Amino acid sequence: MALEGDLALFRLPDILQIIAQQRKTGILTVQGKSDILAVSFQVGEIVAADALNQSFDELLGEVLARRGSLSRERFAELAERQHGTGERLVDYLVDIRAIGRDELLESLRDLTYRLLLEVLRWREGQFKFYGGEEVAYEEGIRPLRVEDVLMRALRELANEPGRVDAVPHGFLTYLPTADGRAIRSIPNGFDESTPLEPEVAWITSDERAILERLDGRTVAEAVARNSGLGEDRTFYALYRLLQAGLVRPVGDREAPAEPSRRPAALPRPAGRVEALRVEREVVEAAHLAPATPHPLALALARAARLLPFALAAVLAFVIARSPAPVLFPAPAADGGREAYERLRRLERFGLIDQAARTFHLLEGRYPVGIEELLARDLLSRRASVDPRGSELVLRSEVDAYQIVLSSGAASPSGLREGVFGNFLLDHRLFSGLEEEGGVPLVLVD
Amino acid sequence: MTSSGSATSRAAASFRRAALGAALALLAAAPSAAQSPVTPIEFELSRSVQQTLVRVQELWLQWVGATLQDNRARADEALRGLTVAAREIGFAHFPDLALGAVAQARQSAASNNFERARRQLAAAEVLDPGRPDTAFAEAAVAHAEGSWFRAAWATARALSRALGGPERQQIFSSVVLWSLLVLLVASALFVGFLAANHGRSVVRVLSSALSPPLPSWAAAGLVAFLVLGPLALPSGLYWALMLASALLWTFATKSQRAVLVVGWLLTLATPWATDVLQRQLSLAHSPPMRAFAAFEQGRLYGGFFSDLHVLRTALPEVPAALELVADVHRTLGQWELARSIYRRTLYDEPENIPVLLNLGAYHFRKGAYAAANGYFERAAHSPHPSAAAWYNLSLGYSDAYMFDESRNALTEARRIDGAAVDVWIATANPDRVLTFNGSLGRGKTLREELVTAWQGDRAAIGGPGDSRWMGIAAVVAALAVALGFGLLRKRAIQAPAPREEAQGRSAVVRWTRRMVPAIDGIEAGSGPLAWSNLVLLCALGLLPQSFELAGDPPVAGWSGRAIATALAALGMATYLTIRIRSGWRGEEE
Repeated sequence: MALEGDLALFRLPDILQIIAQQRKTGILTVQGKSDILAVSFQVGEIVAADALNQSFDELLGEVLARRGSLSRERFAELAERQHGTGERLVDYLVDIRAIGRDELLESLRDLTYRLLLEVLRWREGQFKFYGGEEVAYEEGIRPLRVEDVLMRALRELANEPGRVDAVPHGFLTYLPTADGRAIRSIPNGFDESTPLEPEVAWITSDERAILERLDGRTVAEAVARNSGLGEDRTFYALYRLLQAGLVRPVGDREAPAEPSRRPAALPRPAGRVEALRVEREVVEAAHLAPATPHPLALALARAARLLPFALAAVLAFVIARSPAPVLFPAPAADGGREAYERLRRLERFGLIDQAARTFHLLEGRYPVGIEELLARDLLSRRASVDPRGSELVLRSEVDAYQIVLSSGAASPSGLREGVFGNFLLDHRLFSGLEEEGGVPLVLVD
Repeated sequence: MTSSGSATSRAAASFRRAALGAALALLAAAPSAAQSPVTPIEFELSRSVQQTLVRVQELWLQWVGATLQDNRARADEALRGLTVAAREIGFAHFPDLALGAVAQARQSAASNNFERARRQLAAAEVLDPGRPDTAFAEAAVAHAEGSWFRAAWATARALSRALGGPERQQIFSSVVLWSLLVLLVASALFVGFLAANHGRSVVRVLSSALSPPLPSWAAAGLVAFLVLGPLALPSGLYWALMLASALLWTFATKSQRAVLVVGWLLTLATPWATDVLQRQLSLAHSPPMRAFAAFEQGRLYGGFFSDLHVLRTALPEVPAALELVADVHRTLGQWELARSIYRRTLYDEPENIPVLLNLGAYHFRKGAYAAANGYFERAAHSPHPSAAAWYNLSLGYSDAYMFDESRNALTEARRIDGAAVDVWIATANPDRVLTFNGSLGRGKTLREELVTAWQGDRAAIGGPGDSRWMGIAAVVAALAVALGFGLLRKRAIQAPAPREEAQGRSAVVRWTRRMVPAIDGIEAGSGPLAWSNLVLLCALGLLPQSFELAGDPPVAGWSGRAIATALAALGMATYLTIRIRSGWRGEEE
């Protein structure tokens, strides 16, 4: 969607909010009377700002001086030296350790905010947003959230002359205006899918919470305390209500008598070409959108929030029993899963066999049961059960033993081993040697 | 031992069938509840070898009795006797006896007789040095004594031995399987979090596509069926995750799509890799390869001859197997038996240099220098130059009083490999001429031949063969669904991903997001970075199983699981500490 228009009709804070809520990446250019500003957005957050008619070096120098990081004189001297090096100023300052990288990034952030503050004062101008895949910005800089910028700007602008009517004040009281419009809540903020209806005013949950508390007697500061939203959120909500014409100030200073034009909470068409473009796309989007999804569909979507944790629990349970279903996830992989299970079971049998042979070496017989192997510390408890958790039973005979799954359980496999063929265990193996006797024949040459 | 005659062939065939059955016991052919006992030794042993083995039995009992009576001198004498006996039959170690000594040591430590336990462990080290079982037992003894440092040191040594010994293949296979498991689970969770983020959007798109023709309640029901229905199928979770990843494709950023593709590829690759590893392990643990490995390491265990007989009956005509059997006979000093098998091998491989040299050595020992030189000359004039052949020839010529020829042969040997010749000259060799266990260099051939011989049971063994095509079809279907859904979404609203306001979240939600930064990352459109956070968490969670997924290593006292669990706990504690500190900083801000 091409976001462009005139600042006389569309409030810059609203434009910034749309970009933020839609997580757009790109550059917003704002052309005022005396300057052009370019604000870079990365996934809806502000990462850089440049002014055409202001030197970056000068701006940076001012910010560094204001922050106390580098005096103006020292900065000028370093900037002069940097000219001949071919290096970027910011890299040069860090390389020569005039300032630290973190401090530089914070200063750039401050600089960005200052430029935004300046453009928020503009009442006239044109804006246009150019979307893209990525924008260039200083690596490592902490992005500025639009909401934070607006809230902070609100506080700063409130104290400036000529802005009394546009921003709320803590010591004033406010009353809702009864202009006949229906007020509806939109919990997650505005976006281009919100349908535009002249007789409806859309407000956020914060704004609703504030609107309900405005009685014309409680000052804004007290409302902020009582609402639990905090001063910043309260004043921002109040600011938007003022902009939308839904509240008016009363108290020490009455609002101006002439009817103020009703500025829109959303970009609203006013018969100009630029505005129509926005309206058309928004209206089309509104026609396609279903009015409200069915509660079942909504419940399904909400349940999706818990999905990853449920999935983690299920996977943990499955893997604890046997990792085969995860290692062989596809259907028709039963052969692979069974082979894996069988191999693990046979490995377990191998451990028991090793323990039983060792027992036989020491005792001259096989153990009566697995408990004997456990008691002699020849087998761990874990190795005495099937990988699936079924108990294994060892039944010994004279020179052999058998391992099966615990009695009563269906036994898909087992093992039978004996001393036969083992020259260390089978003492009858060389019994033939004893039978041979007689005088040995010695040949003498 | 003969190999001709129809009666013998029939007997050989029946032996082969029985041996195959026994050999396949470890290759997961579906065995019945009670198998027949293992066949007795069919490997020929000369009288002197038998006497030596009887002596080994007696010396072992003598050692056990002497240690229990704390008769150190007698125990040492028995131990020396065992060492000598091993050398007499050409071997170096008795691993079964070492395990017995280790078991005795644990028993002694349990009854607080630590001095005896240490002697028994020392004996185990003599009987089969470098075993991880011995080091684990040492750790247990140290632990029983209350020496934690020694116990930890011994455990570390045990692990190092296990990773450097024959068990390493199994441990390595387990680690590979663990890695695959971690990546698969992380990918599944990635899809889950993606679904949590965009699930509402998916539902809205599906609802908007279905609701004009259908009433909203029917559309909702159908959407629920489409989304949840796959869970009712066999391998339902797999189908559900594949469908979810396909539906979420269109809402994912490029880097997230890359992660989805990696997940799909993992579902294809993991069964194949698991199958390959399992087959390799099955082969390594089969009786023939067990015997091969033991012979290679000079370790004579109780069932060695039975296992070797299995090899012989499984591969009766394969030259590599014949050579191995002959080498064992020669090592045992059973030259006559070795000679007849070497001659058979030579029939199939006339230019087998080790066999030629061994046959020459046989004749050299008997003083038949002409015959010996005949074999040495054949080896020396083979296409592959062999310094050993020329060296042996020089000795043969010398003993046949052909001194000029002897000198020339030695010169030729030095020309080919002078350093080796110097070593041979300097090393005392009772046979004087060089002999070689050529079969030890043919392990790969033996494995291939065994696999070929057992190929018929592939169906019983099973594998991912059939499911491979199913998996590919599933991935292709997922791509098709992704494409179709993407087209559907273009016609519908482009609903932005709902993002919860940070300051409106409860403490539980905030801290969960801090502990699992992948949640925020996925919401912000991050792919590999968020996935790697999930990989880290899954790796820590599944670490206790990392050494045992391919089966428990056959090491007595193996405590790999405990070690891995401790590492996992430490790793998780570190991770949580870092996340909590970061979280507190965030709270303060």
